[in-house]
Amino acid sequence: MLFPTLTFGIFFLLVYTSTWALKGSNEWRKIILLVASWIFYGWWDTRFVLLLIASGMLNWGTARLILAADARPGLRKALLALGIGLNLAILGFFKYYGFFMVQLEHILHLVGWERDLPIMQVVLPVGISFFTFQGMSYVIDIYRRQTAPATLLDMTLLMSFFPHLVAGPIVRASHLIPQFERVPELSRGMAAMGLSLIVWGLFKKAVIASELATGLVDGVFFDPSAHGSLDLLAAAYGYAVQIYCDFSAYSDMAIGIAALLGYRFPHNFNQPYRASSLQDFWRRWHISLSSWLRDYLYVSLGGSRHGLKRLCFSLMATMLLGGLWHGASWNFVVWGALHGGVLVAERLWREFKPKHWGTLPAWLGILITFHIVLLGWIFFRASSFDVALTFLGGIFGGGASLMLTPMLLGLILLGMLLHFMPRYTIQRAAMQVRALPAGVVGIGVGLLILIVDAMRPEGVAPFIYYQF
Amino acid sequence: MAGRKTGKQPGAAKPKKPRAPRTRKPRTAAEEIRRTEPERAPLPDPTGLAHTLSPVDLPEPAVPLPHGLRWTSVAIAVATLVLGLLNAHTLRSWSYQLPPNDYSARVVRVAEAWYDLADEAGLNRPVEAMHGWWQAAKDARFGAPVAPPDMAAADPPPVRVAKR
Repeated sequence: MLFPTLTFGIFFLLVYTSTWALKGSNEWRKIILLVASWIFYGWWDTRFVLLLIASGMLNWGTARLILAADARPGLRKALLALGIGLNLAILGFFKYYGFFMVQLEHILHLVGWERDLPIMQVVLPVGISFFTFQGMSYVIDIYRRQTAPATLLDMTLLMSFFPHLVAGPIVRASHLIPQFERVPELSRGMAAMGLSLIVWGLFKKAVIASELATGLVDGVFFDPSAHGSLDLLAAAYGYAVQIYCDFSAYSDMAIGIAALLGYRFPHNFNQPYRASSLQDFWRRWHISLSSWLRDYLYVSLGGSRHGLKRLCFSLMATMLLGGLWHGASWNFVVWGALHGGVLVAERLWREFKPKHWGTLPAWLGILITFHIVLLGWIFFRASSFDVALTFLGGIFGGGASLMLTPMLLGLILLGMLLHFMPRYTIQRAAMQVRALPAGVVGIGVGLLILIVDAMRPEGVAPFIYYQF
Repeated sequence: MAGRKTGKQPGAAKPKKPRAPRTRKPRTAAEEIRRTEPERAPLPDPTGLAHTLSPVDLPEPAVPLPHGLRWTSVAIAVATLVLGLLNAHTLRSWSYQLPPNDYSARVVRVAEAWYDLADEAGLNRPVEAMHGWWQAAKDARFGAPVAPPDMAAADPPPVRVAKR
């Protein structure tokens, strides 16, 4: 079930009505939300719901065992390792089994073993990386005594809650469980912000991201060798805008939908292409994942506590694993290595830069950072390493643009300009909206959705991050 | 008047040099996480928006705005009504995408009937006009004259299923 569809609209109206009708009983309200989340997830494949339930129970059970072993540090650590190991085994099987079997087969062929291995076709459950990370963070937080234990209902709902289930934001237990413990209040500010984010997300996804994908990016990336350098450049910039508008739109809509149900999700994007360094970029892009990787991977690998060499290793390893988190492909490894390498270089530069050397002007930092990110996106989007190299080679090959239209150019520019809008524009708009009469707001929201609907291409492509 | 002394005076308190704050390496993972909490916004923030945990946290209004749930429910109901009245296209397209069975055939009939009714009342015209303008803008090419808006470029009607 995709957010920008009528099916989801009807589903949401039913969930909204039933949960607020049951606000007298928090337990029943949560049960309705849980069942609704399973229906939402089962829309793709009902078998995935069993996996989701099993994953929730695994993490809740492991956390209970860690709590019960409070006085035995060795056992606590072993239980933590077991919990993380099981989560990684689930993730590894569904996500990386095929990739590793193909690599193994390749290696065996190299050493003279010419038989084909029996490789199963494993269907990847939508959003498995998101809910597995969510579950792991709960177990680790319980081990670190950074969050209070949750009931089975709250834990299962935390992992299954439909607004963030398939593409984040990754909401930590310490953020959402306390909200589940009482019936939420819905203020006009929260609702105005929720409605604004939904409409804004709908525009970014259905108009900007979809038009760029269908009109430019998909065609050029499918066969870069058939396009001139201007088309390739336009597609590279177009994809940078598309992935931002697509993914941030999902986050905006998820945050808005959760707000209408009374829950607060954390920030996930903050104008990432105006970052003046790659470190700054990762504080603005997919904030919930980057902070997850920082707190549970980078810090666990040693972070900044054991000297510069270890810090550089932790940074590089975190970004390589962050790349692999997106999928089993060498392109994601290259993408992670590029980000890790530049982060390490930035760190070393800060450490060893001669004191009398000035700092780069902000605009130059933004320009350089954006183009490093852009280079990474080419590997991220290309279907294989060879396609990425063909794409990069073609940029310098010359040739006119046959695909770029004034509309597509306008959308690319608009997507970039969004990053230089005054901060908190949506929040300021919502502060005006909340003071208006409800009927006026309803007419405004209806008309804005109508305008988006008239502009969008036929059909709705799934969000890019569904595949992760 | 005593002459001004220069140089060090024995017994005088040595003026302390202000020390640059030393940053100690964090010792534990928890300490490192605490230290790397998101830094404060560098810009002035009179509204308090920079320090929120969620984008939906807005500062309290000067005048209380009561009945949040009622206000939201009315807004959603009115928006649904506006879309139901003016967006019969989407309803009709959606009905044709349902898995074919008796129930969906009934939904298709209702959606078709509503589309025809809305069409007669002129309620479909705003969306068709906007769609036409948007299509014309999409069809424009560099160096080519912009085509006039083509009202017929709106969605072609879906193939009708046999009415029962």
